[in-house]
Amino acid sequence: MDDNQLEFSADNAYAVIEKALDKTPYRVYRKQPNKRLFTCRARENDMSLNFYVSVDKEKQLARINLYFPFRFHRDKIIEACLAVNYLNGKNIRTLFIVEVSTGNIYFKRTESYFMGELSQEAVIDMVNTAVAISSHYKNQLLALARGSITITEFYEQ
Amino acid sequence: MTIPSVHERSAYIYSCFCEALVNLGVKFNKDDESFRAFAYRNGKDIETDIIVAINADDEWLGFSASLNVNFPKAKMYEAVVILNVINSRIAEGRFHIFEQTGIVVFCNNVCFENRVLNKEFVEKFISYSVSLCREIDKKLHFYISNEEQTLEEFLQSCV
Repeated sequence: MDDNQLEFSADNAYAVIEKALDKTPYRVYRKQPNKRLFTCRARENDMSLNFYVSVDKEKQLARINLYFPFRFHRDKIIEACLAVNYLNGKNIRTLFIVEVSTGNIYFKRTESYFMGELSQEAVIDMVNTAVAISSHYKNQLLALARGSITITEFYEQ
Repeated sequence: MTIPSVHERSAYIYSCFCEALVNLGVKFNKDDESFRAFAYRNGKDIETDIIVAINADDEWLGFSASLNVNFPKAKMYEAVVILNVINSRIAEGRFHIFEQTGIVVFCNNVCFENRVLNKEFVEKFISYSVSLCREIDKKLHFYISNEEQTLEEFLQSCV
């Protein structure tokens, strides 16, 4: 595949993502045309969730990173790492990560697209699933971050 | 175009990954139809094996490897921090440690469709996964056996 084809594939993928996001109930509140990064916000139980949709044209992947709206204090980074290690063992397609320097927790999901074909349905499904996963785990993670539960109690939940 | 059956697709994937493993210089044994293979580290510093399992169904190609690193209990907290940082730096797949045993595993799962299920795709997928496992396995062993290497130095080596 030559460079022109690769560029065309990325263009096509971004166009599909833009149209797909318009069909979701989530607000695309900032677009960065130069970086081609879509920043979106979903409101879930009075809690805003920020997620970023981007394209890796070299690997032909569409990627979504969704950040939880809270961060772990520096003293609790080990608990955060233990928690995401546990979650990564339970989830096949979602990778949870702690930013050790900030205490932020986020996860990423990726979708392959080939020959410039990334369907809107795939993007919508990826975004909706990411929000659902976030909704499922955020209360336990928040409780752990606040010290309301121990890591053992987190495992048990 | 005739859509191949699940069995035909599985057989095709199996033939692709067998060829990919051979090209990678890895020995393998077919022990059943669940696509299990064993990859052995090359070189003179062989101490442990990377056990690889490759599973394929109608839409998914999954690769998992168990690295025989066995982190000591005293270094478990370091291990989860290390694996978390490694996960943040790799494009696909994830490393996970079983706290009870200290065993490190790597998993990589991709969804494919008819049109992308070709030899090149399977070879790239397996090549990436095996190479990554070998690299991280070597680094982790070096870190565990080298008391003088600090956590910070280790993380620098993983960039």
